[in-house]
Amino acid sequence: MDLLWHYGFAQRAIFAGLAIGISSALLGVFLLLRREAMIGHGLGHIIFGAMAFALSLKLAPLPVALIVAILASLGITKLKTKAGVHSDTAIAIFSSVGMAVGILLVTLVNRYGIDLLSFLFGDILAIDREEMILALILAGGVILFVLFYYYQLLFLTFSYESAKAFGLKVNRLENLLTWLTAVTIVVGMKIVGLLLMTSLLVIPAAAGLQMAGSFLTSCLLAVTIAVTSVVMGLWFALLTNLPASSTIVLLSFIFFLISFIKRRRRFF
Amino acid sequence: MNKTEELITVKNVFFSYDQKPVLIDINLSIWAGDFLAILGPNGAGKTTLIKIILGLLRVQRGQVMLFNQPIESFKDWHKLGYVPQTATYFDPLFPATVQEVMAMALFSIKKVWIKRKAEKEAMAKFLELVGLKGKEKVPIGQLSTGEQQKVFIARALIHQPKVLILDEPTTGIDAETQRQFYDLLHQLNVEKKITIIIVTHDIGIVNRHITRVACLEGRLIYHGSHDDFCRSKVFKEMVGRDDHVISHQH
Repeated sequence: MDLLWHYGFAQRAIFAGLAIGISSALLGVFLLLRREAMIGHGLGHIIFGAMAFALSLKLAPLPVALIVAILASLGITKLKTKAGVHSDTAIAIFSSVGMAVGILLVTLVNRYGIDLLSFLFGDILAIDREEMILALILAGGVILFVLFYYYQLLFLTFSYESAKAFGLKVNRLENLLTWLTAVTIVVGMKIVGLLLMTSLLVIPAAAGLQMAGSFLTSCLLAVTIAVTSVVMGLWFALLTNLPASSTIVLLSFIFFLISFIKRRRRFF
Repeated sequence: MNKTEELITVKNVFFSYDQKPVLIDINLSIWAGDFLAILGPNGAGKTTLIKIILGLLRVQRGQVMLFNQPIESFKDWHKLGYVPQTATYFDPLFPATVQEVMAMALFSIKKVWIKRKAEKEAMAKFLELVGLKGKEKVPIGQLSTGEQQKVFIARALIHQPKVLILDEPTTGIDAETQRQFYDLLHQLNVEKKITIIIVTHDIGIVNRHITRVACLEGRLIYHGSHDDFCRSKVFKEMVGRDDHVISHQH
């Protein structure tokens, strides 16, 4: 474990990884229960297209990706609420269009020799100080949002209709949740890559939901699994010289398998 | 609460889904102390009507007044309690305990996120009222349908509403639990002075506790007292085509 503290790059990786892991796990619990597990993947495709677009025009990729992600998440919400399209369908539509635009732009961008693969796979061990600070600010924002709106978010997730009947500003809350998810994916994708980002959004939350008997324990378990996966995954990657994104994802999947087996034993 | 106070007024309301009219020219008054049953077959517009009253659907034509205020400017939603239909309402695997289901209503409206002693006591009081004391830590999905429905009643009561609206509350509940359920609603109506609106397609619920009846079939075909309803032509026609056991008692 000393390896994690011995090098500056490893320290930055661990702080950024924990920040992204905690934010994703917290948001993931709400997204999974709202049947929006694929939003990370869907927005990831769109953001990938946006980054390709920004690079091809020599614009700063992060602000462009943020604007596009927020507009896309707004589009998904509108398609769902105004056109009566289910969440997964709305996400799939935007995801496909984003991917199509992404491929188109990547083809154009490659003519200029720009490498977009880092956005797909990322390298958590190569992040700089500014990226680490960005991840920590994001995590602070997500934690404060969830703490402040905890019961409203729980009510919205449990039943949109009842929450609205009780006088909750459901549309505003839903937009806030989707926008924060979009921002988390953009920042996470820039720092750790799309593969690790979407995995951290889904797998720890899914594992937490398998084992928990209450909503609070679901959130706490998801965060614990994310934190453990990031720390152990990074340590194992440094020890074996394997890609950190893969070791973190695979470790969180092992936690999911354990929780799945534990749940089956409880019910059968 | 003034017994003669008109709490909800529905005036000439029209509503359609994709050009298909569901509610046509509905006029309905709900008074303080009423125990009103809104009856009608499936697709008669009952749920649409309560969704309009709850502000979940926007009125297309006509007007709805809640506590003498137009619904468009109404803010005191805590005065209306809503108990949804359990069967279609939530995922039984949702990991929320009974206490969390209560807390989501209490703390999300009051905008406090630190559980205070008084609020905890309020939750316990309402759970005791519906006979679920001691089940606070049980996941809601592990309760029976009847118990889940009682949790949603307790949750609806937590803001001490003036009106309690229940959508098909006894779907999937056995006869004995249904009887206990209506006794509980009667207790709330008489002792707590809560006006109750119950929506159902089951004419069998028209029992001794109901004071007024509204029948919908797109249009309002009957609106009056329970006793008059039981003598009406509408009642006889509904009984004639209904397969359910009639359990009204006089």
